[in-house]
Amino acid sequence: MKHFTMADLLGGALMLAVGATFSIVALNNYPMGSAIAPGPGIFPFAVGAITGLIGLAIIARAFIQREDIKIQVTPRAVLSVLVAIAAFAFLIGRVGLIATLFVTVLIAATGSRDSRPLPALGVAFATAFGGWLIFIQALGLPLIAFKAPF
Amino acid sequence: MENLIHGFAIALTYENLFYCFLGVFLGMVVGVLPGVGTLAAISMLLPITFYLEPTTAIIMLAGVYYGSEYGGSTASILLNLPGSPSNAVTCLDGYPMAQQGRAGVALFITTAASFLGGSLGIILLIVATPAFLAFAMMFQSKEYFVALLLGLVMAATISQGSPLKGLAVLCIGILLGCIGADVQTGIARYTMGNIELFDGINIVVVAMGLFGISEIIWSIASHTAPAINDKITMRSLIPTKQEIKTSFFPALRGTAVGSIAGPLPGAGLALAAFFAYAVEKKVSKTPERFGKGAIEGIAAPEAANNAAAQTAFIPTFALGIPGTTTMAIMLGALMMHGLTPGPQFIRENFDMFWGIVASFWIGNLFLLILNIPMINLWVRLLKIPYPLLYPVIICFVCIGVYAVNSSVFDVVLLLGFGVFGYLLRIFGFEAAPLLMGFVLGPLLEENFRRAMLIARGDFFSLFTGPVNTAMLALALVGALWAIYLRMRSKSERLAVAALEAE
Repeated sequence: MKHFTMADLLGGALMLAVGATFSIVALNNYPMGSAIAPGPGIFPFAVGAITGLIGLAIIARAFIQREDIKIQVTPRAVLSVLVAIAAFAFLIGRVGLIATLFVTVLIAATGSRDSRPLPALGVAFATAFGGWLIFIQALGLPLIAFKAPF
Repeated sequence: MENLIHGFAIALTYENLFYCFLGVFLGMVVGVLPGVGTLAAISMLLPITFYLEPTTAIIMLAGVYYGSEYGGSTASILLNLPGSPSNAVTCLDGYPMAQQGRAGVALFITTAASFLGGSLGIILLIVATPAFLAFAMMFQSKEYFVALLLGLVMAATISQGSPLKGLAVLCIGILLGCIGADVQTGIARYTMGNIELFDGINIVVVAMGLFGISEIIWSIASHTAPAINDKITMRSLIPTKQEIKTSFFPALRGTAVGSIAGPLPGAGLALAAFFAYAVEKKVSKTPERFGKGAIEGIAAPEAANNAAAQTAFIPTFALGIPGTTTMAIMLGALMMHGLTPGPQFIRENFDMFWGIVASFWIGNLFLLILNIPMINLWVRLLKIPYPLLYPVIICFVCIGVYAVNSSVFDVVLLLGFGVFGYLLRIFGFEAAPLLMGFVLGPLLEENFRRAMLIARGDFFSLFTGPVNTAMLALALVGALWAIYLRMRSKSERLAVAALEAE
C-alpha cells in the first residue's frame, strides 16, 4: 500500500499551480479597486486563491484518504492525437484543406494498435475528399481547398 | 395557446424544419458513436450554426442536443456502452434485453417513452416558463450573484465524483473565463499581449478540447471492438400488449421525476434517469427483475431524461442561468449570436422563444419517425471499427475550431485544452464543471461588481433580501438531501456490485 494517492497529489498540485498563477498575476498587474467599486483584479485574485486552497485540500486528502485510483496513460494515443492536431495547425494555412486532412488522418491513425496501413490510407483519402465536399462545397466555409506551399 | 400556434408557424418554415431535422439527425449520428457524448456533439456542430439565423441556429442545436441524448440510448442497449452518462442507467436493463434477443422491443420502448417524456416536458416548459419569468422579475444583481453562485456550486458538487475536485475544476473554469478584456475597464487580463485572446477564449475551443480531444485519446486505448450479431427486423420491434401495459405508468412516473430534476442546477439528465430507475425499483412488486431485462427499467429512465432535457431549458431561458453543462453551451451559443437569455430575452424575442419551443416538439416527432425505420443504420454505424473512426472525428474537430475565426492560434489552444482535459481525466477529475464556470464566470463577476456598488461595499449584505433568503434555504435543503442521497447511492452501488458478482 502506498502512502498517498498519486492521482490526488498530482491533481491537487495542478490546481494549486493554476490558482496561484492567476492570483499572483492579478495581484501584480490589475487594479484591485475598492469595496464599493471592485476593480478588474479582485475577482480573479479571489477565485485564484480559492482554487489554490482547494488544491491544497486535495493534496492533503491524498495523504489521509488513500484511494486506489490508477493513473493510466497511453503515450502512443496521446502523442499521435496531439501531433495530428499540431500538424493540422501547421499545415492548414500552408497547403490547404485537402492535403492537411490527408496528413492529419494518417498521423492520428498511428495512435491505435489496431490501425492498419491500407484502411488508414483509405480513410485518409475519403476524409480529404469528403471534407472538401462537406465544408467547402456544401457548407461554404471560408477554407482554401488547395494551396502550393511555396 | 395563441403563442404556441404562432410558434408553430415559425417552426414550420422550410428552413427551420430542415435544420431541425438536420440537427436531430446529426445529433443521433454523433450520439450513437461511442465515446462522443452530448457535450462533444453540440460543440462539434456549433461552428456550423454560426452562419444561420439565431432562431434557426438554436433550433438546430436543440435538435442535436436531444438527438444525441436519444442516440446514446441505442448504444447503451445494443453494446452496453452508454453514449452519454444519462444513458448509463439504460444499460442496466437494456443490454440484458438485447442479450435475450429483445433488442428490438427495448429500442421501440425507448423511442416511445422518450417521445412521451419529451412531449410532456415541453408542455411543462410552456406552462412553467411564464411563472419563472415572474420570479425572475424580482432579480437584481445581488440576486443574480447569489443564484449564479449557488447554481455553480451545486452543479460542481452534486453531479459526479468528488465534490472537492468538482469545485476545483469549477474555479479553474471561472479563471479561464476571466481571460480577455475586462468588461468595465477594458484592461486586458491574462492575454500575455496576445491580440487573439482579447475577446476571450472561444467556448468552442474549450468544449472541444475538454470533451472532444481528451475523450478520443481516452477511447482509443479503452475501446474494444463491438460485437452485435443480429440484424434487427421490423417485426422484432413491435412490443406485446403486456409490454406496453407494463411500461406505460413507469414512463409517466419517469416523466414526473425527470421534469422536476431537469431545471435543478447540477441535477441534469443523468441524475433524472437514475432517480427514475430507483423509483421504479421501489414501487415494483417484482424488484428482483430489475437488472435482468425489466422493461420498466428502460421506460422510466428514458422518459425521465427526455423530460429533463426539455425542462432544463426553463431556467436557461427565463433566468439566463443554465443548470447543466449542456445548457451552458446552449447559453454560450445564444450569446455568440448576440442574445442574452433572461426576462428581457423572452419579451424582446417573443417570436423566437415560441418558435424554438414549437420546434422542440417537432424535433421529438422527428426522433420518433427517424428512429424506427433507421435502426439498422444505427446498428451499422455502431459496427464501424473505432481505429477508422477517430481520425475522422479529429479532423472534424480541428476544422470546426479553425473555421470559427480562421485562426491557427485557436487550434493550438485546442491542443492545450486537450492535454489539460486528459490530465484532469487521468487524475480522476470531472471536466464538466469547468465549462459551466467558463460560461457563467463572467456573469458572476459582472453581477458581483455591480451588486457591490449598489450595496456600498458591504459584501455580506449581498446574501440578504427575501429572494436570496429563499434561495439559500432551498439550497440548504438541497444540500442535505444530496448528502443523504450520496450516502444511499453508495450503499446501492455496493448492492449492484454484489449483484454483478453473483
